[in-house]
Amino acid sequence: MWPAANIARWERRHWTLAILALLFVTLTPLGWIQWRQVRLLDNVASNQVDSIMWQAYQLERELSRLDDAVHSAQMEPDKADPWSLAERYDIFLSRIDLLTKIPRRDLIEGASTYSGAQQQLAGFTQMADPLFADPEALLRNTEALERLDKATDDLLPVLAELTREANRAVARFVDERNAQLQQQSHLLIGLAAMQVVGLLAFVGLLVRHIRKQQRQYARLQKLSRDLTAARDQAEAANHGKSVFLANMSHEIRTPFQGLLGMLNLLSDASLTSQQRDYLQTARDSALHLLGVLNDILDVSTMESGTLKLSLAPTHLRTVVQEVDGLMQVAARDKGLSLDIYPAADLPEWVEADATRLRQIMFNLINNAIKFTPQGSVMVELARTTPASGGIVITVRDTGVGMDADTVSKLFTRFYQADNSLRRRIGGTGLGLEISRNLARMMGGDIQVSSQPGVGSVFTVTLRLTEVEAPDDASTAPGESSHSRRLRVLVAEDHPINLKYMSILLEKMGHDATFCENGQEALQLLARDEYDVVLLDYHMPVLDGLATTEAIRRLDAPASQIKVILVTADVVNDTRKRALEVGVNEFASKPLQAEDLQRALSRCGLLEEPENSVPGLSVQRHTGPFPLSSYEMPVRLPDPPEPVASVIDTESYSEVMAMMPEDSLEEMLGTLFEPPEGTVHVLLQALADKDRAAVGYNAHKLKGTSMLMGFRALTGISARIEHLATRTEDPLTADLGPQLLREVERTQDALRRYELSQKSPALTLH
Amino acid sequence: MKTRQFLRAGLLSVLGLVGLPALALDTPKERPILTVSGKIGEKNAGDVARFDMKMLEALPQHSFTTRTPWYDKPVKFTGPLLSDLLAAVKASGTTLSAVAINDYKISIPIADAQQPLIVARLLDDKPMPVREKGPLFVVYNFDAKAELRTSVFYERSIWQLKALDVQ
Repeated sequence: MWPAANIARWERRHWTLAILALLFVTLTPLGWIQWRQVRLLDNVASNQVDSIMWQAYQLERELSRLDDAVHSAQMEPDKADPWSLAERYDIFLSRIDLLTKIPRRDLIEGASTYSGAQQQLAGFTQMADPLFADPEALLRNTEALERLDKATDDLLPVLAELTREANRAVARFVDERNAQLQQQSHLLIGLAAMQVVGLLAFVGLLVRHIRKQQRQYARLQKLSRDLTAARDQAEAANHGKSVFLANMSHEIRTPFQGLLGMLNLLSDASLTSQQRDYLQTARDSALHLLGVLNDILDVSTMESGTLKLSLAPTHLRTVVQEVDGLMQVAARDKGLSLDIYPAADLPEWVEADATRLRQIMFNLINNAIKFTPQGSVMVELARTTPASGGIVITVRDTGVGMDADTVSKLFTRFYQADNSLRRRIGGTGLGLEISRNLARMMGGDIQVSSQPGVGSVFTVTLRLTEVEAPDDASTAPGESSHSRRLRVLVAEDHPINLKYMSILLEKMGHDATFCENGQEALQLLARDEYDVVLLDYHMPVLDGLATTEAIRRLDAPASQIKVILVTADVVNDTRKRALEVGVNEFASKPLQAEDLQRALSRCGLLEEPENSVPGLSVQRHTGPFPLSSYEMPVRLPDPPEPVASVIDTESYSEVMAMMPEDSLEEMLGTLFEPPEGTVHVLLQALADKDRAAVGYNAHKLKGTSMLMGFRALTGISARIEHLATRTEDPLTADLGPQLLREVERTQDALRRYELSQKSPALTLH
Repeated sequence: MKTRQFLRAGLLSVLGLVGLPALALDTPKERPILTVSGKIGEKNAGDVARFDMKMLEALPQHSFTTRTPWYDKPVKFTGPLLSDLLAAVKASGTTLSAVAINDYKISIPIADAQQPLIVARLLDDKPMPVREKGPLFVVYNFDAKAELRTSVFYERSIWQLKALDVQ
């Protein structure tokens, strides 16, 4: 028997051969035996084997009848018919031939009886033939008749013996044939047994094989289960890591935004050129870091599966213009020409996530610029051919290019074409992965073709549904001018923010009207006409979302006004909810000129030119989110020490530098002036034990103090806010006096600081 | 198959009616060797039809060579078809009762005559005397069909034929 291991490796032709061999081995002898039997039966049928006995018997019988006829003729010669006597003889003769000439006479030919009988018969016919030649004469010849009678009488026992011999021969033949059949039957049984054994062996082998396969299958299944479990574990771990990474990036980003905001504010202060240079470097580094963080946040949100596209009707040309505007600077800085050609038949409005679309284009063009030392970058936008509701963006550069190997690894994480380049150029290497993931989320993909030394071509296909221009597109981009003066309504309860925004808007050349909460905003809207409303997400009385809802319920045209939500919250959920209630755009907190500019242009109120705001440099960041939220870092005060421990003099001096003197006075008034000053309102709330008012005012105080750099006040207000909003602890009576003491310390420190500022020895520079 | 047999039988009887009625059955000039009796339409000796060798010779002759259990080599048989013979006497039965000089008796279904079934009068082109199973021998063409090589047809092959009774 073959080893079972071999069977497993058998191919179809092996099996075919084995089965054919088995069939041959078993069927050939069977067929042969069957053929033999058929031949035997055929022989028996066509040769009438047993007729030999019958013929012998008939011969004997005919002799008896002839004998009778001769007897009768002897007795009564007159009555006898000579011709019938002759006919009898003829019949007898015909019987002799039948016995001696039939094919199966061989059965008795060997017997001595047969040859004896043949001789005697020959003798008889020799004697009788002449007599019967003339039957009439025979009848008259008594002597001849007597001779005949005697001869027949002699012949009778011989033929009787011949009959018996034939009978015996036939019996022997039948025995022989039976023996043959029996032998063949045995052979058949043997063969059948062999077949059965063969089949059983074969079946056994198969069963063994199947069992083995089953065992293997079970093992494989177990392995597969183990692997699945391991994969699930790994995925869970990876997911956890992604979530952690997303959270961490967010956590890092939040204070980081604060840093950026401060840097921006600082750049507006009066600085020496060296300071300005340091500041620019710090800001570039910060922006770069923010880009990296944004990339990581993107990748991790993609991996944790929480990234959602927020689709809205998007004006493609506007997006292209924005990208163009931003990238031109980078290209010009490097001495490259950047040309963007939107096809004439490009869809006007498409259903798309503009931010993400922009991000893809930024990434690809940015890459092209990065890796192109000289020459040009060319971007083409066209409909897909055949037009299947999509666009193709082709980014062509004359850069360093890549070989096929590099192209194949290009989209893998953290991969950059050239390690030496990486050091020189920097970047996370996540950009392409993010872009491709985004393209795929938009039902498309990114293809690359490149030749080292010649350049690269990145082709993005996106499935974007063409849509009708939205109703509020009346102020479509292009209609408004760069320097359009907008009437802006700002709802902002935070005095510092309010102040900051008023300066910002003024610098951007817009008319700003301020109010403290949503309710007031609604009243103002009902009365006057504005181009846009900036709403803080968190506001007393009526928050940003509620206000938006209320605005949308106003009578036209007030209800059609653009709403920009200023928020520190970048969670997709919030944005989604905001979009649902009718918010048009977002701007992150603290508000930056560029963010506001972009938000305004995205609302269709402004174009976004590279340098439309004098004195405010255009910031570039690769992240998809607007430079977003920050929460004021809470620093608890050190034990009281003169001035520096109470006031962060640096912060305060920045604020002083930024604000005109009267504004500063006014702002300090909003803090300390009774009875409207935040401190006094908070004291009153503490006395009233109005928990909500305490929380709100403490928060307000904390924000302002932090911005101004009032450390001691920040500490106490943070503690009070925490007590009021995060705990159930009672607001103890000593909080009021504590607050008062800190207020006094702060005012005292302020006085001392202002004095020191006036003495030349303590000048800041 | 049955239908075809009937058709052929019908055709034969039509031929018998149309082709031969003008030749009324002769009377034997020599010693009669075959007597046909029973359901027949043509008679020449009272209630029966008698044939001598000349009359049988006058019928269309056919021959074939076949092996038989009675000769140790293939032999050639020649003679009229049984069907022609039956048509000559306008036989209308289903069975023939055949009798031999040696008093052997056997029934032959008339349907058998639809195949080449010869009433042989020549063996290897020679007349057969009684001592050589003559003068007439009803014989099937055994070599033509395997089904014929069974005892049923061997039994129906009657030699030394002297009379046919149509039933």
